[in-house]
Amino acid sequence: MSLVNRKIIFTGPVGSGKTTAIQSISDIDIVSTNKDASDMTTKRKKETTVAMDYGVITIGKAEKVHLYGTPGQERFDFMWDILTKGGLGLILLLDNTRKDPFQDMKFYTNAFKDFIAEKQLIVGITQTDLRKSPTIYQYREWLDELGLDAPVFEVDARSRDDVSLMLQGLLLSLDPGVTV
Amino acid sequence: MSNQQSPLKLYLLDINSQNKAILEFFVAGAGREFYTLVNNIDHAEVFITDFDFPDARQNWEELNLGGKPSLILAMTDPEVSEGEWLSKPMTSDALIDAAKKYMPRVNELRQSDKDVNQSISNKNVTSQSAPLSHHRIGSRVASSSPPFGASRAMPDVATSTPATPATVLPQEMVGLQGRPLVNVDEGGAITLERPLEKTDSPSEVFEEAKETATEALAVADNSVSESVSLLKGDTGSAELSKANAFASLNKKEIPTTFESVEGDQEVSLTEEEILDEQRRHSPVYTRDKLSPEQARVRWQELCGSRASYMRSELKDIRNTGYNRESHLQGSLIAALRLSKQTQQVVQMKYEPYKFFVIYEDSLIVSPLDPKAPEFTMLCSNAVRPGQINLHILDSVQSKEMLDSLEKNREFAFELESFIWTTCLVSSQGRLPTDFESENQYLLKHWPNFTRMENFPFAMRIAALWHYEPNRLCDVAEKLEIPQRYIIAFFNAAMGLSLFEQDLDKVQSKLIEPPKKKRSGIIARLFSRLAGGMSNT
Ligand SMILES: Nc1nc2c(ncn2[C@@H]2O[C@H](COP(=O)(O)OP(=O)(O)O)[C@@H](O)[C@H]2O)c(=O)[nH]1
Ligand SMILES: [Mg+2]
Repeated sequence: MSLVNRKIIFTGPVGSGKTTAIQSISDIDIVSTNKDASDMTTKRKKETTVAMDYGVITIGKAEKVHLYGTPGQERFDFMWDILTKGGLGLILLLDNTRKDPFQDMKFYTNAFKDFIAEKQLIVGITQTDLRKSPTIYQYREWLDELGLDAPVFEVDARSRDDVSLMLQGLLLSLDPGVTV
Repeated sequence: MSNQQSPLKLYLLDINSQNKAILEFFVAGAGREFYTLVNNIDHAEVFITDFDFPDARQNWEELNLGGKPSLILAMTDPEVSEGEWLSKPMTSDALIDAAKKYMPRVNELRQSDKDVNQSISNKNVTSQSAPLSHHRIGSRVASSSPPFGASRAMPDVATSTPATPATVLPQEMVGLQGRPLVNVDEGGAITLERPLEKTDSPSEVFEEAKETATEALAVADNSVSESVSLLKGDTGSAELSKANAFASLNKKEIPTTFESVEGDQEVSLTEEEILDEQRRHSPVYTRDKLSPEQARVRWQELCGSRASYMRSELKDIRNTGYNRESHLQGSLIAALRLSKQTQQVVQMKYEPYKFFVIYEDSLIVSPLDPKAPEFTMLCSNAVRPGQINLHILDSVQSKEMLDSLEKNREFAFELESFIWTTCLVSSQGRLPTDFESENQYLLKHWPNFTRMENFPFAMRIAALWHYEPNRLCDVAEKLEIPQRYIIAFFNAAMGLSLFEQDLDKVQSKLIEPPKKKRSGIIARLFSRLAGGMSNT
């Protein structure tokens, strides 16, 4: 099997927790070229990752699964097939404190629609500790409205357990027969 | 074929950093046979620029690229005589096609390599040096940063995870029970409150409640119900917006004072800045860690210890099953429905307790922790008709309840997770009397597993039942796991209305061919992640 088949893509709006989630689960320190790292504490805007985030989960001695976080892109300059080719599955993180998470969901599920149709999507709602609504009920309804069938979990991107459970959900959706 | 030749040396001109990252990624992966990135403009064979980037067009026109091909990204046709327009949104195929197209021309140029190099470097030193430096290649484009593949080896310049706040807040800044000493008005301006004297605290009533609420059921005249009942004269409360009020419910002791605020001084922060502060100070979500022995005991409480039913027994479950409606569970689900329909807070009174269901915020206010033994007992008791009453709060009552809740967050629980546990401890692995053994069930939505109490195999059961319709006993056989876990899942997911109600959809899914393929890597990664976790 080729190497490109061993990647999982994290996407979502800026600040939704992609970098943090990859950091939480990766076996290596995350690689991302963040130009404004030093300014980070002052303004959140500056935390915006400019390059792809990259992390790894190692299986056994040699096998690796690559984790990629998409750079924050609000405009469609590229078709996302550039990022997803050969990916196992897609993790969409949505920040519950954003103005219109439904809009975000529409934007990203549309951008990745071919990939989602072929592979599998899982949705992680982040920052629910900061804002309770929209609730998970609404996210499920929105997915129904968009004709999408994906698990939705609340996740704290900073929690390894949460990110791990979300990944397990993704893998089980891809293949409900897998066992430990 | 192009891939028998060495890849084109690609130089990035004016490209914004996100697009640059995507191109680097492409070149390191799917496009690797066609392109390689170079940092030195003199080594370039192909250029790429983004005309939607400020000054990009002018910079490109001023450069003399020595007849080398340029790929021009642009939303609309730039109508240039030289260069290849790649319209946005651009696909990887477009990039690959362009490479194939220019390969022959680049090969020609490679033949006359020396001449071309000579001419470009001459121009750089002489007439073209001004435009090139004006072009700010160093500051804006590829310049020194290595292509994506190489950057993996770079030292970590990534984010610092701000999970630990940079500044530890002085204890005095936080009010009693972690209550924030800030008022946030509608416009988002915040003012500091003086720390409350203990005697001033309207939350003392709740202080008491906390002690009593966990006492055994028998202590009824401590009037635990009053503890969560409506607080009067609650004048000193912070006017947090509703959204903020529920922020961090369930999380204890969240410091919400801000390091940028000193003394009693007033500061104005935008809503976004306030959120940011909260984000940095809010504790990372953690779930209870149980020892293997504790887990065994708890799973027995949640799923029972019953041996699997025989198929013949399943048919007559009406006689031996448990009746949802005669347990707290039935009323709780009715309260949820009512709150959903009316979009109001619904009070559920089960003497001596009062619960409040707030569907809109997916919350329940409960004097008992759903994991407490008292609650387990309450759930397993049969309820007499009329013993539990539902009541829709009017707007005044709702407001008072919500106001008092702000300061007593430990009584608020995530609604779905509460119902999940309620259904489990009520049924303890028994089937409900209305169970239909021959029904094909299809899970419409996955439970929110990251916030639910776990028990063995729960996620695997969800995955299979979401993948295809199955009878309950089929799930046990296909997964080769004890039936009680499937029954437990069934009860809890039923309680949350997660199964598909539309029988046509179930039918059509029954005949739908399976879409997904199995792959070794999925199993290996799953095993790597799930080994040691209790829910799989
Ligand atoms: N309070 C809280 N903060 C979170 C949560 N998830 C992520 N964050 C924080 O949100 C900020 C933005 O996350 P980041 O990973 O940089 O987002 P990205 O732009 O998608 O890469 C970071 O400070 C994270 O620590 C969450 O569930 N709760
Ligand atoms: Mg990031």
